[in-house]
Amino acid sequence: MSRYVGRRIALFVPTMLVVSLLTFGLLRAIPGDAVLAQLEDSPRLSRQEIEELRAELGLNDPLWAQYARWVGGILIGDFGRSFGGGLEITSEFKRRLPYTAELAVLALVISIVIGVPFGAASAFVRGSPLDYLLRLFAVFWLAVPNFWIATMALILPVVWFGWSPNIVATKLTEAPAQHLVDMLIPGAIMGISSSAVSLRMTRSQVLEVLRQDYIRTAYAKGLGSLTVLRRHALRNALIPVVTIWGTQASGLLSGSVLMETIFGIPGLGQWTVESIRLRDYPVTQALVLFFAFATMAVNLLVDLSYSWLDPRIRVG
Amino acid sequence: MSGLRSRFGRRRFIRATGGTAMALGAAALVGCGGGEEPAATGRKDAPAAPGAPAAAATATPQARAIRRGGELVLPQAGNPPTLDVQLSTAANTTNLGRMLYDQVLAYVLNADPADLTIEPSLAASAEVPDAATYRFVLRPGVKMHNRPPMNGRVVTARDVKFSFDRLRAKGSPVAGVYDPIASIDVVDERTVIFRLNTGYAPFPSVVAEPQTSFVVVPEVVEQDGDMTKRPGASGPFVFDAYEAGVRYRVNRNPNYFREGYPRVDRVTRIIQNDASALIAAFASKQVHVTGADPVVLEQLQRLVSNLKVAEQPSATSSAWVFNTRVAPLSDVRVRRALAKAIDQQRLLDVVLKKTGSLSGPVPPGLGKWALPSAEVRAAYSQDLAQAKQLLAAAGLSGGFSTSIIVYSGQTTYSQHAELVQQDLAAVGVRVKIDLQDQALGRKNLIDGNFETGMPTGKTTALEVDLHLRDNYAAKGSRNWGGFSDAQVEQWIAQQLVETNEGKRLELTKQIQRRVLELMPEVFLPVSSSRSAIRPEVEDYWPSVNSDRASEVATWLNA
Repeated sequence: MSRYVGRRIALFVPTMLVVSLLTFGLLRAIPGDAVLAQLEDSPRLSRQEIEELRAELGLNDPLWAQYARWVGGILIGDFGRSFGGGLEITSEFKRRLPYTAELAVLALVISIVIGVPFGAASAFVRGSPLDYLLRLFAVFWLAVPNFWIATMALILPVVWFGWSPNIVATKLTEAPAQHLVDMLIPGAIMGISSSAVSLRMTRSQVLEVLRQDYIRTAYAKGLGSLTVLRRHALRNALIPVVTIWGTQASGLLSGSVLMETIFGIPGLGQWTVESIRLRDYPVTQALVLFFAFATMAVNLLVDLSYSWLDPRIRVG
Repeated sequence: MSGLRSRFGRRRFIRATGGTAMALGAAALVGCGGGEEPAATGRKDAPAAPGAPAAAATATPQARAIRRGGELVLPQAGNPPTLDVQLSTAANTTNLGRMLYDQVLAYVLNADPADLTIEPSLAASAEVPDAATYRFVLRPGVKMHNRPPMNGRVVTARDVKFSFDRLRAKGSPVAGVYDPIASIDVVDERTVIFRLNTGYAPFPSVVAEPQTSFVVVPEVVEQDGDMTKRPGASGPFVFDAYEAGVRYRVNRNPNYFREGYPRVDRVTRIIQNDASALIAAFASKQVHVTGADPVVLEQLQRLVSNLKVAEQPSATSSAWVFNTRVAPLSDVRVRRALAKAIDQQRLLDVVLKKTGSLSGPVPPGLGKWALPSAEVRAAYSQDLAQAKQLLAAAGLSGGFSTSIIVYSGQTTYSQHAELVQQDLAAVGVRVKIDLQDQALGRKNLIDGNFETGMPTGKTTALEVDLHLRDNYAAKGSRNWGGFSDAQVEQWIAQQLVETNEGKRLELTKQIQRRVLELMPEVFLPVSSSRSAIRPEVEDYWPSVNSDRASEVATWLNA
């Protein structure tokens, strides 16, 4: 097991190297000028002054030198500074990560809590009105985009009650309860939306498993329906579902951009969008590397979870 | 006051500088001098005396009980690119700057958006011994914020010199604005002399430049390298906290030199740009003010009864720029033909939903410095027959193909471009709309790699010279189309040193008429800036230039 984990972790290194090269290269291949993007509407800069600023940011150095400087910094834990305002990337990252992580965890938990039980229930009562209702629920959340739900979540309470969720997040340390409310609404929207996939996947897997011989055997032993479902069907049905969770976790981590924008959550998604708009190379590069790393780490955890869910699967 | 009047040398100042300085001098008579400001008497007090704080000068014509305290919450579209207010002209930084810092001179703040009067702020008096020398004496006893490293010390002439030297230093992104300054001399603790390279009529507008001409704290820059960690100097508010992507807060400066101001205890700017979120926030009292285009305003009016609406003309021109270096756009007849083919009224009605006005080279927000609207309207009357004649005269009776660079995400410009495309098809001109990312589009414009473009980023300055020289002088920093005309060059140079306001006004009008004649760009209609203001908010005046909005005077009536 440990050898397997070691091998997988070792594979992170070349993967990250490729990701770093691609990120670095593609960002510079995008047409446009990082300095002009940073300056926005600053007035009256001569070409010479723009060139001086470019040199100051190291953008006139050969690409290999820029890359070597960046990677060299990472190896000693220094991700550099943002082009805009010279913000230290590591400290800003530490400030923003908890927001995004909290949102992703909330969403994932809500997704699992809704998706798995309702998916299993839907399979268990296949063809019943409840099954149709749950399937309708899943299709609705798959079909309707998150941003529309988020907009409705903001506007409708105002129309009905003159109240609206906060449009910027409260700090956990300032007002923990309010913070939870601020995060819970976007988290719930993301989670319920994601739960639709889990629900459908759980339903189809449980239906598949319920047809297996060992389920019939379990019934023949006299076990109750719920026991059969919980002990024998669900656990075996979960492997593909867990794979989906892995994908969702990565997606929730990097894909919370819209929720962070609409609900004013200062997470990594909001920062990514801003850094791309402003051609803030050091920030974008650092964030892409992080998302790549997070995706690999989540996938590793998912792979490891298979052997726990199904003892027949051995790693190593 | 009489002593101040004589020290201020009003007649001398007006005679020497004219133009904006005239307004400065006039305002100085009522605007400077201690002891006239309204006393802050508890939580409610009498309205401000005329001419006391700039912000109150014309705002309170009739007696009203002003309620003090509370938190004013305003939205802001994005993070300040930097908290060092001398390093960025982005509105998101300037919004913070004007609350934390003071200026030697400042544009008067009042309910009349067309009032571009400049008045003393930190200055108690000003003299203009000759056209190239400005001498300012600072108000006595104005204190910096009571926090390290300045710890409430008095603002001195050395602070002024340091601030302007930093602004014009090599590497400063705004150094060009301060080009006219040759040197700055400190005479004593309160007296500072600006020596210019040559006579420069609009110099007061440089000192009052609302985006960066702030008096800062030398110790902060010397100790920290910049002002990002400890922003603030002597302004009406003291910096409290900033969380990128969420909000920043400033608290009332209890020692602010204009007694009785600011009126609210705290201003919070929340960083949010999502239209739906802002509608919800405005209706649920999370923000007191929000920008409101006609569609948003209609929704807000349904949700909030008695909301107030403030509408300000634009101080930013909006143009369809031609690259005059390349054929056939190098031919003035072709440029005129394109202008004549466009239905400007349709752009105004459809794109701007009738909330705006046609604009010439100087936008309507600059009041008397802009051409009269009738003249602009006449220059832009659509005449397809004439457009075809002009094209035929240029040997293009079959039309030609061209492209318009539009920055992606700029919906207004995209819609303008689409209507222009339709209009030009009627005279045989085939237009390709080239949507480009802003960073790329701006680079192409600066490098001259374009045929035509509808760029954002024209100046928001309140000084007419910046609208003319930057755009139409051969070396102007925004003259992207390479326009060059000897007559325009000459007039631009003349208006720079013309101290008689009437003559300068006429010169600037001549330049605009000449530009309209040579048509290096077609000016697009400009939208009025509209704000929805909650009923409980008083004395909030968004400005033609958002850099001088009125947080210092605003109060909450509930």
